[in-house]
Amino acid sequence: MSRDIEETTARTREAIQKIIDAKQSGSKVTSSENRQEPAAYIRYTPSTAVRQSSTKKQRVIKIVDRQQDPTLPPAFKIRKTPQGPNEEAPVPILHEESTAKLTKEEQKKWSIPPAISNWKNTKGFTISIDKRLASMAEDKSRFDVSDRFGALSEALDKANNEAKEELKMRARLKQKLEKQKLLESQKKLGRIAREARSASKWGTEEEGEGRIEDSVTKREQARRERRRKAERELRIGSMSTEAKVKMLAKGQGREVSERIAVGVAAQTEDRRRKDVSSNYDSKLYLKAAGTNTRHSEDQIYDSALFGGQEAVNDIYRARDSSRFKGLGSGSEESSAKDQLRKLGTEKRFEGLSDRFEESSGPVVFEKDKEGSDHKKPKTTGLARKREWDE
Amino acid sequence: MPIRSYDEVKREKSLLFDDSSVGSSRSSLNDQRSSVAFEKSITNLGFDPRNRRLPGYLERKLHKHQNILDKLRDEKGAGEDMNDLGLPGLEDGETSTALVSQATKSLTSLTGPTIGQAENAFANELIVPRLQSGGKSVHHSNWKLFRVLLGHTGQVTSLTFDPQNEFFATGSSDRTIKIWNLASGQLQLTLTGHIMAVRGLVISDRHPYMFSCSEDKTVKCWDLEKNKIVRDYHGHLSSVYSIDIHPTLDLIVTGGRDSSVKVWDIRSKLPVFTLTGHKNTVNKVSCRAVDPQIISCSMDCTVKTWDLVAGKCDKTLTYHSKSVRSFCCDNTRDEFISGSSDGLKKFNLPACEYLQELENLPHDELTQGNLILNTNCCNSDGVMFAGYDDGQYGFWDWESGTIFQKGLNNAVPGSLSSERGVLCSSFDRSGLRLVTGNVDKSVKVWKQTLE
Repeated sequence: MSRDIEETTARTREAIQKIIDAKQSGSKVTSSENRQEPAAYIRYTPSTAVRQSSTKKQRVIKIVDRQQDPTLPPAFKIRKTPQGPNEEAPVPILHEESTAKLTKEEQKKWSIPPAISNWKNTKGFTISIDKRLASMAEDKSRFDVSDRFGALSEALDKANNEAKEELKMRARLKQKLEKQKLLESQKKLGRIAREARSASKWGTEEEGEGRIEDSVTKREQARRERRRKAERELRIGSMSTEAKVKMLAKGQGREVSERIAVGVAAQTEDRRRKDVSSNYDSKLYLKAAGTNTRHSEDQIYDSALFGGQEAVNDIYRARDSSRFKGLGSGSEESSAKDQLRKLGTEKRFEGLSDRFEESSGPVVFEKDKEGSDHKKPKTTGLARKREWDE
Repeated sequence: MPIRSYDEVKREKSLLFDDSSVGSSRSSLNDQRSSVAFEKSITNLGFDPRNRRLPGYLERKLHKHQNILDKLRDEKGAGEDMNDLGLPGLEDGETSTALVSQATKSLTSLTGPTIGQAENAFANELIVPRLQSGGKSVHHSNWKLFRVLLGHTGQVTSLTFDPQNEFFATGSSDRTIKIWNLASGQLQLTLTGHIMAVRGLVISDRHPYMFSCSEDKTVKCWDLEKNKIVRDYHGHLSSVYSIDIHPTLDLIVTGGRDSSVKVWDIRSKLPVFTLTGHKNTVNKVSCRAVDPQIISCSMDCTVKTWDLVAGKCDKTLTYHSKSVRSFCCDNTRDEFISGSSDGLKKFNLPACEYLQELENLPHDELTQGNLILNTNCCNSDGVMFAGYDDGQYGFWDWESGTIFQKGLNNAVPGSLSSERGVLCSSFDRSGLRLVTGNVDKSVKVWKQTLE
């Protein structure tokens, strides 16, 4: 095998080297001077008829190639010669050409309508639909529908409708029956209940008990009232003076901060009278007051949403814990706890039990650290200071 | 027996079937030469008198002259030697009687109900593959996709492997050549230089060179040590579609849309031969160390083998009826399989005899159109891979020609389902990895599952 390869390689290399050598020598650039052949000399003896007495018998002629301008265009047009007849023998075709004729079905599958055919409509003109239909006249029969089809579809429709109607009727009937059944069962239950009630009426008759119950409820009510009063007193006792004053004012209906917040603080009578006497444009007032008053219902976004609350911005303040300091004997945490215990209303969010004391600002949100403490119950992370003074 | 020259066949034909010679055939019948010629012609025309019927034209001829034959038979009587009946010369009477009886049989069958059989008589023996069922099928474990390499921005049209099997290069229609590490799948290098799609790549075993051919009509030689273009081979008139390097000589062979195959000298850049003969685009060329040294397949439905010494076409194989887009040679077996829309066919090599028709993938031509085979390749293990334009692929056992694995290529997410086609494929030097280049711009690496 390897010897075969070597032999082939050597043979081919030799043949190819020959061709390459020939091509390379042929492509060597040679100047026109080099190519010029040396002059040829000819001894010329004119024939006797031409010869005149004066001329010599013989002369030597030098033949030289005529100088040519190498830059001139070619004198003859270069034409490509057409390919000659193939010298080689035609090759026998060794594949089986399928001679089976196309069936009608297959022909139909491959048929291309003339309107879009590249052969029939080479320029790709758009052909209007009516002309297309006209050209496909023989295909029109395809779209014809026999009368029987109409009859069949009608019959099918009818049957369909009837079936639907029947179904509807059946459903209605079923509903009716169910309703009836329900009514009957209700009646039955009612009857049983009535019987039971009448039986109990006959069985027990005690008037005194009702009176006893009455007195018990009264006592309980009184107890509740007392308890509420005590709580209130305790709360007031723990309040700062400012809060006490506020509370008093509220009790007498003089507390206006809330009403200001809402923007409906009423003016006093004499003030109003003053306003009427001085002729100011009311609009100016409205502007200065800021705020919620609108010129018309459409001007919703005329003023800032919370513009009217500037005065009230400090109604809510973060509760400073210094207030608790004086009251409690120990640290502020313990005092706050004591307060809560006293009140007996230790209501908080679940899971806040040990976080409660550290809060001092208004609202503190905490990020819920998942994974870090799995065992602890999940906190919602909201620690909030309660406000006692309402 | 190989096909003789056309003139010879013609002469023999005229000797055999010239109507005027029927009368005077008696003298020539005894001539040894003419009987030898008949034998020859019969083998030439693919007719073996021992086991086949008469070819169709002979039958028709016989039919035409049946009256004459009958008359002659009547005159001579039944016991007479058939050689005297004016039939073309035969050496022994036995075969000739067999022939005539066969001919008459087929004639009766023509008139009878079994027309299919009579049609069969037209079949050329050369068309019938020599191996009808192939060898024993060897068990191969299945191949699976194990890596998808992305990076090209155009469809991957060509690929080739490093002789050391360390890297492989892919050429794409994005005008670049990319070099990938085979083991890790890492992109190592991108080479630019072509101005249109790169259609063919080959890395030399004996030089540090890579050759690429492109749709821009150029063939370039890259120095892989400097990663630069060192040579250009100028001469193709149109896109160059395929390239191969001669295994022992410093020659490269290219083929392209100008339906020519060109042989170039690597060093001097000279076109040694321009091999013409194909009538349409040349799809693939391949080189071998032994004769036939060049094989090419073309859109004109032929596979041609070329004589590199003479620079001429050696054999033309016309077994395919559709354009032949790919073929692959197995040098250990000295066979090659060519693939076309009408199927895969196996040939043996120095003689180019038709061996076998391979199993086909299921396909309905009428509804789905032609099943276009883009690429096929084989390894030394006897596995052949073929990739199709619609995304189908199959693995064949070389010996038996049976499919042992087939499937549909999945397009990379983000690409259309119509972009599943396989464009190029190659087994690596060890034959353990298969790399395919796809329309969806991906390069896919396959390996065999362990069993």
